[in-house]
Amino acid sequence: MGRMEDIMEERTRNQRSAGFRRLGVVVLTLACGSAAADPTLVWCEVGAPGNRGVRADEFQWWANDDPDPGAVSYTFRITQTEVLSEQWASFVNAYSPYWTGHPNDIGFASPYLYRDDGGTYRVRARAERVPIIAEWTMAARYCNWLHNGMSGERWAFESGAYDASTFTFNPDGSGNHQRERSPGAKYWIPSLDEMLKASFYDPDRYGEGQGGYWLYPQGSNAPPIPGLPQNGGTTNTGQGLFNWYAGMYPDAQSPWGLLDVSGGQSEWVETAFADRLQDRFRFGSQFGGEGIWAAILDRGDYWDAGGVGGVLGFRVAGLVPTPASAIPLLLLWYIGNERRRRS
Amino acid sequence: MSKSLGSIAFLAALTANALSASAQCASGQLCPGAVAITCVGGGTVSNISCTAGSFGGTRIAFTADPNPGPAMTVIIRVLVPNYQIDEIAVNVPASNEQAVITVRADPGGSISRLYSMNKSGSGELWITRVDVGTGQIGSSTATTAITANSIDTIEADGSIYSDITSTGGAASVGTIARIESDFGSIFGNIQANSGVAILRANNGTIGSSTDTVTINTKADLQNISAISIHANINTRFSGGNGGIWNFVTTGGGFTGSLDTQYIDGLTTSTAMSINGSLDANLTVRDNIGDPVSIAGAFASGRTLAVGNSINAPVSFPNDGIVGQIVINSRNISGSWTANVTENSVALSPKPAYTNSSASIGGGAVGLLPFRIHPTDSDVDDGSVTLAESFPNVLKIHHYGPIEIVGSNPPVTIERRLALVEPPPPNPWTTVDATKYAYAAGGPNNRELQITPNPDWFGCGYEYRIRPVAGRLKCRDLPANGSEADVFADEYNFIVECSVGDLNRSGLIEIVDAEIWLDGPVDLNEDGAADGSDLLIITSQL
Repeated sequence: MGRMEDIMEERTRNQRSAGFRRLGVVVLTLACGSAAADPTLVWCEVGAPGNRGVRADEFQWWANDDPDPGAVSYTFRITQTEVLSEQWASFVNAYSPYWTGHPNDIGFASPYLYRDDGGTYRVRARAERVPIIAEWTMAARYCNWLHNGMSGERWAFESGAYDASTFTFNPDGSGNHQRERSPGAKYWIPSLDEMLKASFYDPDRYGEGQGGYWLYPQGSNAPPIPGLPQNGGTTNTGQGLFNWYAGMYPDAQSPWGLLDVSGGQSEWVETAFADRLQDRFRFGSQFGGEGIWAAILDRGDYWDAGGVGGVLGFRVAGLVPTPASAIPLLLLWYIGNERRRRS
Repeated sequence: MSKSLGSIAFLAALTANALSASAQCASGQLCPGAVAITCVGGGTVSNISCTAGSFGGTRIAFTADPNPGPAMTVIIRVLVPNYQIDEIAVNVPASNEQAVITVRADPGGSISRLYSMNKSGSGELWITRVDVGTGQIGSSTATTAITANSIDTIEADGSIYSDITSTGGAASVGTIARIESDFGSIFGNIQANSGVAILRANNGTIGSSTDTVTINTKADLQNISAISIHANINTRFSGGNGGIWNFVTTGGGFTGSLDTQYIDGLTTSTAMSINGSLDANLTVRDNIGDPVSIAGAFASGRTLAVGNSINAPVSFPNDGIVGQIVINSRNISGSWTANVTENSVALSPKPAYTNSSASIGGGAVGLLPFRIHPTDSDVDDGSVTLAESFPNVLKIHHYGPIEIVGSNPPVTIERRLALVEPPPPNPWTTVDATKYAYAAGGPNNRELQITPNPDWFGCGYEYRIRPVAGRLKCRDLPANGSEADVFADEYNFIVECSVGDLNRSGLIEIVDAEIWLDGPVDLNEDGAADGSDLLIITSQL
C-alpha cells in the first residue's frame, strides 16, 4: 500500500474511532463521510446541540461581540476539509457562463484551476486535493449552487443560501451583503459559532460528558506543530507547497473530525464583523508563511475579519440528513466497520 | 443567530481574565478611550505613549518585552470610529525575542488609516495581521513604511501606499503571507526576505503607469493579481531564487520588469495571464513550466528571456509578438518544447519556424544559439534569385539579436558554379573579404547585413555563407546568458544570370531548351508551364 493509501486508511480508522467514542456521549453522531449534494464532499456531523459557549478561562484572548461564542443549539454538519480544487472545478465550470470577470481571476478560479483551450476549467494534476481560495461572494454562490442541486441555471447561483442581489457596495465602501444564511438554506458558509464548535468544542473536554473548548483545533491546548507528518508535524503552516494536500495530517483532527483547521487555507466564515457586512470573520492559519503563525492564528480565541473581496478558503456547513436517510448511512458505516474488523 | 453588540459582561470577564492572566502587561489601554490592548504570553508592555503624529493622527509607541519570552502577542484594538494612526513604534529590547502584533478594530471601532509600523531594539517584530477595514494604509503624499521581521497579513479596503518590508531575523525568515487591497490599489514597494503568498489588488492596480513600484522577494511570489501591474519585480532579490506561481492582470497590462527563477504554477495552471499588453522585460532564469497567456502585444524592444526551457504554452494575440523571446538564454542546452502561439497558431516547426516576423507582429522567438530564419532573410535561404533582382544588401535574418565580435569578418562566404550538372570537382572557393562589407542591424539587431561591392554577387554561382566561430554572437542575453556563437547554420543561395538559364551556365544555350523539354518549367510564372515559357528560352538563342 502506498503512502497515500496508508494515510487514508489510518484516517478512516481514526474517524471511526472518534465516531465510536462519541456515540457513547452524543445521540446519533455520525463519523465523517460523504453524502448527497456533491458526493466528493466529506461531511462531519457536529452534535451535542445546546452546548455552552466558551468560558473566559478557555479563550483568554477572546474579545468581540459574540455573547456566547461557540454555542450552537442544533446539530449540523460541516465539511471535513476546506473545499478542494476538484470540487471547486465543477462549480467554476457551472458558473463560468455567468462570470463577467477575468477567467483567471483567483477570486473565482483560484490559482489551482486552469482553463483549457475549449474553455473548460480543469484541475492541474497535483492540485486535486489542494484547498481553493475564493472571494466570500463566490463561496456564498457555491452554497447556493449546492442548495439548488448543482443546477447549471443562473438562478441556481443567485439564491437559496444567500441572496446574491445583496452583494453590492455603497459609495462609502460599506457593503450590503446578506448578513447570514436565508431561512431554509440547506448549505451555507459556517458561522463563527459553528466553526468554533466544530473546531474546538469537545463534549468530553473535561471528562466524559463534561464538554468544553480546547485552545487549538486538534483537540489540544498545545499549538499545532509545523512540519511534514513523517517528521512529527501536525500542520502545513509554515510549509511550502510541495508534498502538500488536504488531509495530510489525519491524526490532527478536531474533536468532530475536522482536518486542516490549522494550515490549508485561512477560512471564511459567514458571520459579519459587527455592522460591517462587507467584512466577515476569518479563521485559522494557512500553508506557507512561517510556522509560528500556527501558534497564534490557530488559537480559538484569536480572531479577525477581512473584506469579502479578499480570497480565502472555506468549508461548507449544512443540514443534517433526515433520520430516514441517516439511519441507513449509519448502518452501512457500522456494517462496513464490522466486516473490516473481522477480515 | 445575529450577534448584537454590547455583551459587556462577557467582554469584561474576558478582559479582566486576560489581564490577570498576563499581569505583566502594563495596561489594558494603549490610548485611553481609543485603543485597547490585549497581551498574552508573558512579558511586559511599558513606556506607552500616544502622541500627535506627523500627519495629524496618533503615534502609538510602546516597549514590548517578552522576557522571559521568547515571544509575546500584543493585539492592538481600536475602539472608536475612523481612528487615524500615523505610526506604531514598537521597541523590542532583547535579542532572540519576538513581539507579535495584531492591529485591528474592535466592534464599534474602525481605522481610517494606518501609515507606518516599525521596530527598534534588538528583538523582532512580527506582524500577525493589520486590517484597517475600509481605511487605507499609508499616504499618497508622504513616504511611509511598515517594516517587520515577519508579516502574515496586511489588508485594507482602500489603497495601500506604505512600503511594506519583511526583513527576516534570527527567528524568522521574513515571509509575507498576504497583502490585499479589496477596492483600492497597491502603490507601496514590497520587499520580503523570503516569499510572498498573495499580493492582490482585486479592484485596483499594483503601481501605476506613472509610478512603477518595486517588489523584491528572495523566495516565491506565489500569487500576484491586479487589474494591471506596473512594477519592477525581482523574485531573486539579494541572492534569492524565487519564482512566480500565478501572475494575473485582470483588465490591463504589465509594465516594468520581472526577474524570476521560473514561471511555474507548481500546482497552479496558467502561471501568467496578462489581460493587456506586456510592456516589460521578463527574465526567467530557469523554465516556463506552466502556460503563459498574453492578451495584448508584447511590446517592441522588450525581451522575454528564458534561461532554460519553455515547457508550457506561451500564447500571444494576433500580431502580438512584437518583442523578442529568447529560449535557453543561459546557453545551457535548454529546449523549446511547448508551443509559442500567435493568434492561436503555433510557430512551427520549432525552433526554425517559417512564420515570418511580419506575420506575427514584427518580433521573433529564438532558441539559443540563434538560427537563420529561412524566409525572413533577404534573399531566402536556399533560393534562386535573378541577378537583376538581387538586393543591394543581403540580409541574413536570425531568430534573435546578434553581434559581431572583433574586426575580422564574422562569416565566410564561398561560391561555386551553379551549374545543374557541374563538371567535377566544382569546389567552393572563398570570396575575398574585400568584396563585401558587413554589419549587424535590422529589427532588434537580428540581421547580419552583407553589402557586396558593386560587381558582387556575381551571377551563375551558388553561394554558401557560414559563421566564423567566435565572431558572430548572440547578443543581449539576460538571465546570466553567456556569450554564445550563433548556430552553425549554412546559408545558401544561387544568383541566376537570366530567366531560362536552366543549367545555370551563365548563358542561354540550346541545352537549356532541351532541359525545358525534358521537364517544362513555368518561367513566366503565369501558372502554367507551356509554350510561352519555352519561347522565353528560344527567343534568347
